[in-house]
Amino acid sequence: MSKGVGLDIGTMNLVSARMSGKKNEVTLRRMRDLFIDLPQSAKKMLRLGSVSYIEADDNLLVLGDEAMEVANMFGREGRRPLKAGLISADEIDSLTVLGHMVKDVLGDPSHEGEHCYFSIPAAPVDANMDVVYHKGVFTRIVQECGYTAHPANEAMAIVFAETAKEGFSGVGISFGSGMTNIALAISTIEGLSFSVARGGDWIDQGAARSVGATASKMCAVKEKGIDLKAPKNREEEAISFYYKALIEHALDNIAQQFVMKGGHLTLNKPIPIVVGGGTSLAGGFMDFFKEVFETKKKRFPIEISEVRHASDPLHAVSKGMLILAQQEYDED
Amino acid sequence: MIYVAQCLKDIEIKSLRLKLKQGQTFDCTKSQYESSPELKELVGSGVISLKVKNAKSSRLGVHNNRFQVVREPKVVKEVVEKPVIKEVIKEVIKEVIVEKEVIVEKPQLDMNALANVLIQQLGTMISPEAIAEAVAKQMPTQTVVNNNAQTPQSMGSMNTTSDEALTFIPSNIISSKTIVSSESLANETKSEGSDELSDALSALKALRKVKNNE
Repeated sequence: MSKGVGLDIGTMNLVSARMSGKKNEVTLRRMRDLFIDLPQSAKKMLRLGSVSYIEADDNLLVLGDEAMEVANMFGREGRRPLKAGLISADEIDSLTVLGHMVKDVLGDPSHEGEHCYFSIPAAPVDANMDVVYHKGVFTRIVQECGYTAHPANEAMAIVFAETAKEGFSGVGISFGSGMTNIALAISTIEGLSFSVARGGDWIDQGAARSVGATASKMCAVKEKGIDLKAPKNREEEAISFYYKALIEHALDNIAQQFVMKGGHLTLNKPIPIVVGGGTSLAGGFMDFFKEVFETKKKRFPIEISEVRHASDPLHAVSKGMLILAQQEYDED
Repeated sequence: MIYVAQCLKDIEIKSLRLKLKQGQTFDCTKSQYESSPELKELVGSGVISLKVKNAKSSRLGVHNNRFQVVREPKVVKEVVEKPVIKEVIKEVIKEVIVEKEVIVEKPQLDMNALANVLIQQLGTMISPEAIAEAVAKQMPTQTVVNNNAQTPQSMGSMNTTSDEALTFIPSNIISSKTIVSSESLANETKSEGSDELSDALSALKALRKVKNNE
């Protein structure tokens, strides 16, 4: 097994990536960032149903995808340890759950102190949220798992994973569930990075408000498959509307932040925009993105060579983190 | 209200396009006077004296043969605004400049009312300049308190108490007491043909080498 592991800590999923023994094969381990607590009396039922759980402080906690199934079974909402990209302060069991999820997803280190790069969001420009605690907690968790922890910017991971042919210059956008992370890099150097506190959850909530449904229902509509360019009903139309608003918000902020903070950056040639993240998996998302970008292209302060989807949008961040982890060993 | 301004020196009032010699007078309206800082300054500095037009000596309404009370012409007094002194002390300690000002502003006085009272009471005895000076002393002033009395040592400790250092991060997050029912709850997949990843790693390695050689 190759050394080094990348970890994407997302609001919806935790994904680890490491090179397996075979040439160019990457092993990805994913767990849904969801849990549900059940009383001890439910243990027998969980065993009969072959549902995995952990016992912590007299509680049974079902984690991951199974938590969603159990939640549906009990007619309850699943609990999320992360909210808007950061550790949820409302969830008292967040840390316990996250600790076990990360340990499970990472597995044991191949050697003591194996390098692990994990994603952290940049501070949002449109909300007052502190990433310091989030970063500190995950550093501690990764260390407790036996790794050497390296926090790294989420959107920069997309640049590392997807812009090798451009000499690691480009704008990486990670459309996540909790937030959207953006980074501009020139030859591996991070020139500008920030996030906006809007993502897939924001779309679900907005669309749900518009049609009088619940956010989980909107999420289900989204995950079932939707074509943003050809919505079939009012719910899809509402989702499509909020997708457009999210893309516009992200592009407007890129332009604004570049003018405000990136004026010193010298771009010798046009750079690409590479889009990743689970929220970008909706049908027609890239066409939609390009369409919105075309309307803003004239006044966009950065010369863009092309707009493209990451080759593996859902795993681009974890793969980018893996590249960073592996180069720790190449320098030896 | 119209004022009669009398020059006590040869002067030029640019804002009113006037060149006047000593002793010359000219009329100016109250609004003209109030809108001309130059005129105010000249009055304040005593180069021009200002009096209300047609405020001739008049007798009081009470007449008797013995006493004749004469009211002096009203004297308009100029309130000279005392320049606000703002003192900013910059202290450079180990390339860190911290400027901290606490501006204590005394309550605003109604200067017009104060001036009128003074004019009525003292107009007959004291010159406008003296009144102006007295009023100026009552003008609100800004007091700058410099809280920059930190020593280099205290600055150093301030730097070390950043947000990051102050954030409490709990330990033993992964509890050993927790019982896990199965080996793993994560879904594992293999992503084959990830040449792009190897290419990216090689490109990154090459780029770093070039940068190191430069």
